[in-house]
Amino acid sequence: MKPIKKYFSLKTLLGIVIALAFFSILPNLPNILTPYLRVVLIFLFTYVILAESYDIFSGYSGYSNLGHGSFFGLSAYLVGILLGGLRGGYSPVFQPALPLPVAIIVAVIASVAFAAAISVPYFRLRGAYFSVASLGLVLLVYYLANNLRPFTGGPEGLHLPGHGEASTLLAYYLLLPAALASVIINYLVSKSRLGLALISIREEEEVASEYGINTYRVKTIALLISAALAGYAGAAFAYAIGVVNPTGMLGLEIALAPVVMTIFGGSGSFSGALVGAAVLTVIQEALYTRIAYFHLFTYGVLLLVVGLLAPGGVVRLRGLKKLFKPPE
Amino acid sequence: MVFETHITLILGGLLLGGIYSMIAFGLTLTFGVSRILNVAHGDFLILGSVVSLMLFDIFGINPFLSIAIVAPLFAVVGMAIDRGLIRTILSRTAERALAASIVVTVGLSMAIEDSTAYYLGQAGGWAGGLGYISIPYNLPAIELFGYYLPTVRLLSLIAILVIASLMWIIITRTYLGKVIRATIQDRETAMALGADVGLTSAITLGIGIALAAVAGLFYVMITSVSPFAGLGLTVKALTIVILGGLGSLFGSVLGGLIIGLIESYVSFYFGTIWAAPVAILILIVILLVRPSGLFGRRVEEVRK
Repeated sequence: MKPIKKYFSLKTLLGIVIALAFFSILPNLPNILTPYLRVVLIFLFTYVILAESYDIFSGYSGYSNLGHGSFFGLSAYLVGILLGGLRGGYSPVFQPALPLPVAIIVAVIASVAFAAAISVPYFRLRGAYFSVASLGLVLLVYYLANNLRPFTGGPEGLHLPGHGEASTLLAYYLLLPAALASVIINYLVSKSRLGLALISIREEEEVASEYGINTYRVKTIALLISAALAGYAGAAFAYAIGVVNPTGMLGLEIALAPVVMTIFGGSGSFSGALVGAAVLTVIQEALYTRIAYFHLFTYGVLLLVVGLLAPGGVVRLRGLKKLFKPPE
Repeated sequence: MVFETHITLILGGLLLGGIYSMIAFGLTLTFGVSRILNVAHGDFLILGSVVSLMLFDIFGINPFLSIAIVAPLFAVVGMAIDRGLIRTILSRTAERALAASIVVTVGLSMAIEDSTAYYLGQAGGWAGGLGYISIPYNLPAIELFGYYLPTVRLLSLIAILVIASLMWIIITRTYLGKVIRATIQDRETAMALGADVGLTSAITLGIGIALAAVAGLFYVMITSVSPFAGLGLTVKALTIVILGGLGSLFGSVLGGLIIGLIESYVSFYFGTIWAAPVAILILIVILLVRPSGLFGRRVEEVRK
């Protein structure tokens, strides 16, 4: 009991329980939660996991991982393939049709393995150069998804068999606890030795290394945690949507979403990623349903303005700082 | 016959490589001088394509002559973007400036892509509403040593060579070039020794965006261009920048040519869909063998 008390006040714990209970009951009130709203919430949870997991590695270490979406997309595709997704037009090489839990576990392990593999060449790059190079990872997975047609169904993608209302509801309950967990994990990382080590890398990697921090190991651990969460989000999201195609799972809009949302909200703080994901998901939905043309344009201009006016993200704005208490 | 195939492949690869070099060179310049990442860089290539097609379609201006309009136009656009958007960011700490530049230029990229797609995609409107554009400009092939060579491609290649030599002169022989090289090497020291870093970053962004736009002019002559191709091109240019070597201007040019040639051969032997991922795979291999890229300085020196 003691370690829990050290990190969470009773009020916070109560808040977490209430949030969990509220969102758990929500889908059982069909009059309030329409199928459309449920999908919006699925998007919200997915984006929260993506933003928080991006922040765990990049927000604290300062290494902007623009390839974060590749973990998400890779896992989404694996779930699509392992569940026996139908490829329109291409005769499948193999059609396993595994049960969902097995598919999710395999997909998450694969994302972590992928992250471990790419960390070898990419961690040879320092700071900004890492960011620049990592954007290529998303495109690499995108092209593979597009080109390995017997496995992935090419541009049309995979259609999950037996997808319907029930699977969306199940996916909702798969994503909800994960979203909450990712916020808590981010918070715990910030309070842990790992988080401190990451922040010291952000401030001055050379000095951190001289003070006995194994910078390579610390960065790798954070990247693997972040990849596992993103992989889980990808797996559950693919199951929720039922269609896995290159643009939907690996398009640059979704691949850059965690980066943009975290920086928008304020990187290096769990509240920043949460606020960024929530605000931008709502704005995106509002724009796409209310405006006929130029929603992408409006969204882009909004990002531009916030990027210019809020150097530390929304949570570090003067009026909101007291409310969110982000670390500097 | 085999020889002729290789000539076509090499010519096509060099032209594609020249175009890649132009965008990679511009990115290296802006990244080296201002330490910001311009995600919208590739979108200026697309805008360059659109403007040159407009000049060709509406005013009937020869694509090669419209370089004289496109280049200065986009140089001004680039400088305006530096003054309007980038300048506010540059006063922040390096890490925050990079993060902000990503958000700002992703926003810019979305805005550009959406409005370009809107104007190109209207049914019955200009450019046919297909969303894809290309300049239908052709010249009769010329005969050289018994082989027929595509004139437009040869002329484009020559034009790119002229531009490259011009850039080489600017970088190595002028005061501006000296300031640019000094700022890339060490921003603080260059500032302390009296270099106007603010003005330099405006000029380099202008040069970078002008180069991207002119590259777009050549690009739209050899292939059809979609309004949403911008981000993919940015990523390719970034890959080339890292491949060629961190902060090495020469490396980015050579890296572009290498990727262009490899893509040309890969798409001939394995199909066009495999051309794009090859660049990234090569990058990963190069990073394993030589982390500082082909022509980069050692990693420890690039730290700052």
